[in-house]
Amino acid sequence: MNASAPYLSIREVNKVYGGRHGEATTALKSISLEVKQGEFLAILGPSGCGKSTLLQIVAGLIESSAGAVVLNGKPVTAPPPEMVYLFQQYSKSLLPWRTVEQNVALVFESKGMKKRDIAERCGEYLAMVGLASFRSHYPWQLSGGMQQRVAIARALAAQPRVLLLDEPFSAVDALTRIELQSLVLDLWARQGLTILLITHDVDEAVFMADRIAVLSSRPSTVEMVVETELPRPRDAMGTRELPRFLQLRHQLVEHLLNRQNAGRVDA
Amino acid sequence: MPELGRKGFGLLSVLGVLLLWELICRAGLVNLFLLPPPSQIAPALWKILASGSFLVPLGQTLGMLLIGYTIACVAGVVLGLLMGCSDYFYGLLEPLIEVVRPIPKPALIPAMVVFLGIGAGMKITMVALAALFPVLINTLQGVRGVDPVLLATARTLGCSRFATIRKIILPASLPMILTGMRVSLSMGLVLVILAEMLAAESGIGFLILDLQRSFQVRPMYAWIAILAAVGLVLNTLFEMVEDRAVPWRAK
Repeated sequence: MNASAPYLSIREVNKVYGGRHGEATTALKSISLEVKQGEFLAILGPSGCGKSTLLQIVAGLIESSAGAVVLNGKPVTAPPPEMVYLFQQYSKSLLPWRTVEQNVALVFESKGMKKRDIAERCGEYLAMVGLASFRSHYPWQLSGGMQQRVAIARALAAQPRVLLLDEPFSAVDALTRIELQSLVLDLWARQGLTILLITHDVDEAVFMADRIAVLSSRPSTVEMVVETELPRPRDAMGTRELPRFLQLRHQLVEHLLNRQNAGRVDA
Repeated sequence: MPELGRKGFGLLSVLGVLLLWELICRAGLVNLFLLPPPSQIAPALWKILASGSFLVPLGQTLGMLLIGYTIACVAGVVLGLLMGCSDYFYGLLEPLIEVVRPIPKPALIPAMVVFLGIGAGMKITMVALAALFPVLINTLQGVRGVDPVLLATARTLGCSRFATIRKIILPASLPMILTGMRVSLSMGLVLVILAEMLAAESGIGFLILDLQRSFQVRPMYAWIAILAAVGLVLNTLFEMVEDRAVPWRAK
């Protein structure tokens, strides 16, 4: 495969809800994005702009009304094994009747592995997210940040090439969010993953991504794509104090605010 | 209030009613032959318990109840899962269920007697029929209520359809299924007693009616007390199973 060819292409994707009898709502309007292998792309947009819809179409979890998603040359019609979707609602995506270890084990059980091997592999992935000593706990005995770590460990255990992150840090407190951002960046670099991150947090998008695609509110279109051009590895404190970081954040916040105000005048 | 203290406190209302009953009898407000005071029922109850004569009728009644109940639980969960997971089965079975479910099940006892007689088959069938629907409906609702995020997670992690049903949908619906099973247990007890009263020659229901007809009023009340205890014990056992099976529910 050509190194510069896109690994994942989103081609002219449309999503229309309703229709037939009710009034049709266009959530996504001809969205096109290309992602290189190993790239970290953030998709930034206001709440309710259809970001999650877009990501779920990419994941093969819901169908688009028109357009296509192509992963490594193959169109996505069902969830591909090399792509895993991580939900914002960790408390709903973990199985409360299973321990932390058994939650991770879910991805190995269908592969006909021996019990001992499964336990070993689960231990490895839990160690990656710093939860090795919590393997026998139940999810509801852990804090929100720790639950999201379990979900991250389980997602990685499925050995994806592409990780789709749907506002994964928006339900945890500010300090935990900073910790998890660094953890994910570290895992991204070590595992050679390709990541699509959806967020409404400008700071998070600039801090984590290589490129940021800004979506408009409904019907969503790609308004602009910017390269962050920030050095790696990123540092939770240092990167946020770089002039380029501040300039980018300023530019993006200004853009989002202007648009919001323009919207108000129109209305 | 601590758990034990609260239960002890609640016992006061039970004792209060027993005391009131006793006082009403002693004050001569009722015919003591028709409504004997608790102090006269207690010796009759003791006689039944001490002689061990409660064992056979209790065993007969509980046996019918448990066989019918087990059939209902298995069938209810299997049908509920099928209907919840497949539109095909839902479309096929939903009309049938909506026709049979509203029939008050005791109304079917005479019909069952006609072609099943008055033996075990009829009683087990009646218990199973009455206990089936709460389990089935709750299983169906449990399956439909499984969080879409959980189902999408299973898909994105590559779980097969069968694995999703077994490892995700079934345990996620378990709290609802158990609620249905608890309702079914009381329904089953009602039906087995009623079936024994209407058409049987054994069991506690038959005995209570027989004692009433032969004017043995005190043992009749003693047997009602035993039934109350049976209901209480079954319910308590069920709660213990529930707490163990779904420890995450209270969290």
